[in-house]
Amino acid sequence: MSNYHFYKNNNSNKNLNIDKDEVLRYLGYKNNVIDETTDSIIDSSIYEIQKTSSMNYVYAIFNIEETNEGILLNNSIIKLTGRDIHEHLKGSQKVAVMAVTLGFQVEQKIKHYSITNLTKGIILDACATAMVEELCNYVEKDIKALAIKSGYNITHRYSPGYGDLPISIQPDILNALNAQRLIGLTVTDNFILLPRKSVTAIIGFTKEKPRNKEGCLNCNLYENCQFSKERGLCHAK
Amino acid sequence: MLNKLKENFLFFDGAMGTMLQSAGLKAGELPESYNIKNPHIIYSIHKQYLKAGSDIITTNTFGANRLKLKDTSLSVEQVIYSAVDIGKKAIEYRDEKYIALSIGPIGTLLKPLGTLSFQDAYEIFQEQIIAGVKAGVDLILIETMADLYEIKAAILAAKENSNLPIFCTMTFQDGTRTFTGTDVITMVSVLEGLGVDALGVNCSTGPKEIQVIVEDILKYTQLPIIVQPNAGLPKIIENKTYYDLSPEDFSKEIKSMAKKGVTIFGGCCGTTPEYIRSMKSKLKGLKPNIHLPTRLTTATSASKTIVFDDEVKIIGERINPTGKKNLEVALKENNIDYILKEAILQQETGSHILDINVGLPEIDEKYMMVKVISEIQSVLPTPLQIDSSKKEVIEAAARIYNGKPIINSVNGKKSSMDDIFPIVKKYGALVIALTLDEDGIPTTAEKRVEIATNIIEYAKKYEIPEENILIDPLVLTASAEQESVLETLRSIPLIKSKYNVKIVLGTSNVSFGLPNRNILNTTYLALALGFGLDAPITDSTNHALMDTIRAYKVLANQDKNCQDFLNIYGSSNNVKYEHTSYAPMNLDEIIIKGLKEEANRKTRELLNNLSSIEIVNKFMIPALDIVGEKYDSQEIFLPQLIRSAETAKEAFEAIKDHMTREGVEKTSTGKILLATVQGDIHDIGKNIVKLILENYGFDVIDLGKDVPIQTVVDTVKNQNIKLVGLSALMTTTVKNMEDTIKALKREGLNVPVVVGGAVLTPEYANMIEADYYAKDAKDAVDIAKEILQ
Repeated sequence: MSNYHFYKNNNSNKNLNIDKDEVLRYLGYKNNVIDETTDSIIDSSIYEIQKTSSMNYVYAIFNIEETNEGILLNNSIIKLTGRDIHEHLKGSQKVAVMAVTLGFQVEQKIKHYSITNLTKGIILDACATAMVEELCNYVEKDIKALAIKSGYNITHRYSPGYGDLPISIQPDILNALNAQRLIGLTVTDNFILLPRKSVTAIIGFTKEKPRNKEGCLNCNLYENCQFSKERGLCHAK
Repeated sequence: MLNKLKENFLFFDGAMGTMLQSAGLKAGELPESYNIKNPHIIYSIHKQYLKAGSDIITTNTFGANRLKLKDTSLSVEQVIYSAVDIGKKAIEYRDEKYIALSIGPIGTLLKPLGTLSFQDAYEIFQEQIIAGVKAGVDLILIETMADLYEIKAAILAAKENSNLPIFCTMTFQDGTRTFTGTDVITMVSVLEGLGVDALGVNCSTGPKEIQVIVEDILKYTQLPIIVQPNAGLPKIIENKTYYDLSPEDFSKEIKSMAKKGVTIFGGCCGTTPEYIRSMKSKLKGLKPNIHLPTRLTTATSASKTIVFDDEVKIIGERINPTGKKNLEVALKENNIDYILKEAILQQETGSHILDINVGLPEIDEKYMMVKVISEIQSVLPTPLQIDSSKKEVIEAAARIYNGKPIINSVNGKKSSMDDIFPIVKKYGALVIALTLDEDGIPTTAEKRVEIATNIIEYAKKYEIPEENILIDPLVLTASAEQESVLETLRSIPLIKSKYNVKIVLGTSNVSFGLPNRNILNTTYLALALGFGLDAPITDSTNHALMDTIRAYKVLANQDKNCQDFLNIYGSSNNVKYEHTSYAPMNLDEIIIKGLKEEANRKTRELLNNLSSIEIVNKFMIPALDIVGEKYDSQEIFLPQLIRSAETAKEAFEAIKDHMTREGVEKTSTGKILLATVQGDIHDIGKNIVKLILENYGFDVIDLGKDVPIQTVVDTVKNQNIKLVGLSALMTTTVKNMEDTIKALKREGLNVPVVVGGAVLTPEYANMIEADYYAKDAKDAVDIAKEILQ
């Protein structure tokens, strides 16, 4: 038996809460007056996304090894390259690699409404984005519990595309997690995850105290990120 | 081998992946590389399974496709030849042992969910199948599929490039649907139609949990069933993953499935030779329990099956340009959104199936049919009916259709049957058969029965079972052939008593040329239903017709306890027929408040007294300006802005409608092309830009997402395009944006290009030689004004 491990859970029956403030934030809300109609569309969209999501996730834990070519995940084909991930995992001995998805039905719903009712389409899209973040948080908690049990703290989630960690690593991550078979997650030639409301991320296991988030300066979307322009922070709020 | 199944069970092997992991395969490493690198390991795994009693070993070729091998030095042929070679060596000279060519999912998704075209998927599978056949496999195993469309491409590739038996398995989630939404009845309808030799389920879950899926399969298929479950559910012990069923417990479940009627077994994740040995001994002495459930008449999409049973099914007829000016214009202008809205409207008003006819002399019908079908299938689960008089249009549509379509139509002429039946057979479609022949439309019921009989019997020569035929006994108009009107209806029970076929009928022609058509149509529809019509081809947005159908369903005891009827006509829910009263409001207020439902009505009212231009200038532009200011000053935010924009669009639609009816030709100062570039599938931002541009009166051609470079170039060449707007959201797809711009320049097309999308900046836009950068929709409008006005 090799030393890598999969955990898969189809928790489509689990109802994660979607934070309405998050939805509003994705919609560019800045203390405007929300009329009743918009407010009720947001509420019904939150409900519909919860109902339509078919949440699935998978993660695996790997020992890591620093080399000149990057960080190698033992017994896997994953090699993490770039200055930023190196910085992020400084002091980590292991990593959890995770992938989560809301499934295709959500996608179809958003597309349907984008044709008949674009207002609702963009609201549903924002709700789904908030939902996939919730799912990530949920899985992160799971991973954290596992880490603590074996005497580790965890770092924040770090995804391909943050800093200089290339998104071209997505196929290797999905292959190593057997993600297509286990949770129906695939990637296109241009490294777009499908279903679109999906996330992959890396979490370090460290004996050190958890550090604060590195903040936006590391993000390659920094230059024209709406959130950074207006508030200075996105997920690090 | 297939004959053997009547007397004996067949046993596949167990997991290859699990065995390879034990032998040191790394996470994510390509298992197929072992055929070349470590052939002795593969050989030994085959040997162990053969020794355990497997009749069929599966080649280590699950992912041996050109996309998965792209970054390796291996070729598809090389991997498949070596895999089959190892298998042959392992089998040696033993009789009655077979080699199955394993074909798994490609790994990237097909359009419209993904970016791979159906044809590309077909060619990928074709390459694998040709190599497998050449190497000498005994059967083709298409396995662990989640996407029905992908499995269709694989089956067609197998059928068109080999004569070998084809076995297919799909993998299901706990909820008994695959990841892309296919349920069991849909899988069975489509795979049986495509002519596979055995079908079933693998992977998914453990053998206990898989029983619900297996029971469902048993309910519908007459084909041999394969089941290859995982070795239970994954459990984590001491940070390691195990499957929780022992070979003994696993085999107990297998035995219960064998008793129910499953005949082909094997194992998936976590199973080892021990599981095969155990199930084989457990089934000793047991004989296959062949079962043959009643055959149903079904039409499906990828995720929904409509069964023609005792309840009336409605086939929506509105997507047909005959006599529909707006649809005709939409087709000529390539306005897919209009067609999608028509489709959604019919689905929402109760159509179970939608007829699709795009035949116009000026357009490329084949291209448009394929396009419309793919687009509708990307948003609606409603099964579709391919309606064309051209054989090549029908064939192209049936090929790319995702599911089991209805073909409309064949008739009793020998030439028609010889044209259409091969397509029906090959793609496993339902077909509507019109009761006319070389002598034309008959006047009597008896002659209709005779033609129906000829068609059904002739279809048998093509191995098309009668349940896949829908008879249309053809309505005649009361104004011209009054004495024959009831003959059509009289033929219905005569045909149904003779054959297990369902009846469809387009009823509205009966009233052609007469006044008060509605009363004639509803009365005739009620009569036809009483005579046994199963599926009217009709307009579900017509209240009177739907009232008739709902009433009939109550009286015929189809709507049990009058449930639907009460839901629709019961006191509290009766909103459909009442006009909600609004406070009197001007159009500008309506737009500012975003009252979408009101805009159309109000605009039509205004059109009685004002010209289009007056309405636009007096109400719409001022309203949009106010909304824009409110947005800029952060009084409102994005969803409110969009709703006002959609409201304004409703008003524009009413004006456009009015102009079409009045025969006013649109004067276009030039069009704006919008596209999300090739490889990118993010289109919400682009859709917002389109909406806002349209609000300001610009004529927009929206090419959609993942648009090939050549399509952009061709559209600029052929249409009066004054500005090109390109959108990309990913750093990886900005490259395609750059290539699109380069291609336009290379062709000498001096059209300005504006770009936008999350990763773009003015500097980046400059670098890829775009003429403009728009940070949002308002920016885009300003740029469009600069260029076009």
